[in-house]
Amino acid sequence: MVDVITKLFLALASYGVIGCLFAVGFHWRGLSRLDPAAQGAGIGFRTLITPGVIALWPLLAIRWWQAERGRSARTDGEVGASARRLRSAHGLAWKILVATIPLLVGAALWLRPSPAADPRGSARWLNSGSIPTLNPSR
Amino acid sequence: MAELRIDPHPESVPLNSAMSIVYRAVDWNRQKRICDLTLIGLLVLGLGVFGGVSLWVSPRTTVETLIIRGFAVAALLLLHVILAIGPMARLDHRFLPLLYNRRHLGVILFVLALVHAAFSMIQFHALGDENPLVSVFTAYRRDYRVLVHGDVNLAHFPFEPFGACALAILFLMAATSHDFWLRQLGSSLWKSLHLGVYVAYGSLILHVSFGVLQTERSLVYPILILLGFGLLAGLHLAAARKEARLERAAPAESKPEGFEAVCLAADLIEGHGKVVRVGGHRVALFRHLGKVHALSNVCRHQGGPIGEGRILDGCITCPWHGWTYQPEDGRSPPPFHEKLDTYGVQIIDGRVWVRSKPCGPTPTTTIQC
Repeated sequence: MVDVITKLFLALASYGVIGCLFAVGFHWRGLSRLDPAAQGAGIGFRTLITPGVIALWPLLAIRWWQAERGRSARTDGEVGASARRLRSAHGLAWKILVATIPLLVGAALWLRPSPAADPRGSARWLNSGSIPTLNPSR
Repeated sequence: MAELRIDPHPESVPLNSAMSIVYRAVDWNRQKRICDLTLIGLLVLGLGVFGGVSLWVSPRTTVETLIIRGFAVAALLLLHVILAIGPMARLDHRFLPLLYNRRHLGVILFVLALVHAAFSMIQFHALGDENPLVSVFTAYRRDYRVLVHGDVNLAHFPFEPFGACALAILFLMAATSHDFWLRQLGSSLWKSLHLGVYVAYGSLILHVSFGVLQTERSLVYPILILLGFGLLAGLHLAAARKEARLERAAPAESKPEGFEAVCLAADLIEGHGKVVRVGGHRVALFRHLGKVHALSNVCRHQGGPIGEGRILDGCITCPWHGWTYQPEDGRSPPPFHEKLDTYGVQIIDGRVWVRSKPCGPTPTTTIQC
């Protein structure tokens, strides 16, 4: 389990490093190529979008590539078409939440350990000023 | 978080907005400043009261614990507020200014959740042999080590990954809150991504239920959580019913030329909109300077309900973020290029008839009434 989680974090870190490198190039050339409204935009705007650039760099890389090849990356023609779908999605999300949340909260309460068996709960150790770490050192 | 455009009439449009041809970091205006400062003031006050009461009840509680708990409570409350804003604005237009600033609330929510996560990681996971980030996902084995050797119990369920999942979603939503992302991702993908707020909400409820509710045994906490959920579900249900009534409203009569009777001309108030359903579409009707105009009800920005807006300085103004359109042809005033579909209109014997298909690039037919 630890190995799997460690490898996943390494993959995520690698993705982030590539994203950081991409962000440098994107701010240098890609941003103005991709979106004319970004030409002349200030450092505040660029800083604000950078976390998203790092997180979603593959998508922006595709958009940038499309823009370089002269294809329009604009997608604002779909607003009307999506309005009804989004209302349905909202409705579905709430149906799922209504069906599951009360059950899950109930299950968590019903199945919680008794105070005597719980290594944390009954002692209220968080309030005691003495906090046992969940990641001990040997 | 900020808007794409700068309002061409910033002094006269109270909803303000947005219209600019160059992106800005944060498009603050008076209304947004008031909203943000009020929220920050309430948060500081709330955290102070929470800390004071906690120390009064349990004087040995550490500052780190107070921060972890206080920011968690604040984040959960703010998430409820954010989820309630949408249906409240649908049910009562007085809540529209909150909707206008909802993206700022989302970013503040992410910051609160991040502080909670960072302090939790430092307090519980940073001092051991294992990488703290890895420990967040594997600590449940040690956390419940007594129980693991005893009875199998659903309470062994690791709660930390649900918090991490919610934080990741809130990060993505905060990071893509600028209009730049709306433009780059497209409306459908952007909205779909931001529907992730429901996954984040569900994850947070699980995080709380299998986390703090396992140790805090008072019934007050689960009751509050279920009350909050019930309130949100009730608001969304009421808003959905209002929408459904509009969807079900059938036109009273239709003509061979494709016109459908939608309402009485007397029902339209000068400068205000009315949403009607024509040919399966929602159409916004406006009476302006004695003429009736029919346009698509869906704003080109975020799909806001145009018909719930008003005419300000001669332009139809979307109630969500203040994007503006000329009633005569549905076009945004220069130098902008957005355009709404327009529909032909006839007034016969005091009744408004609207053509069921949009006019396309042709300006709307407007009839003196």
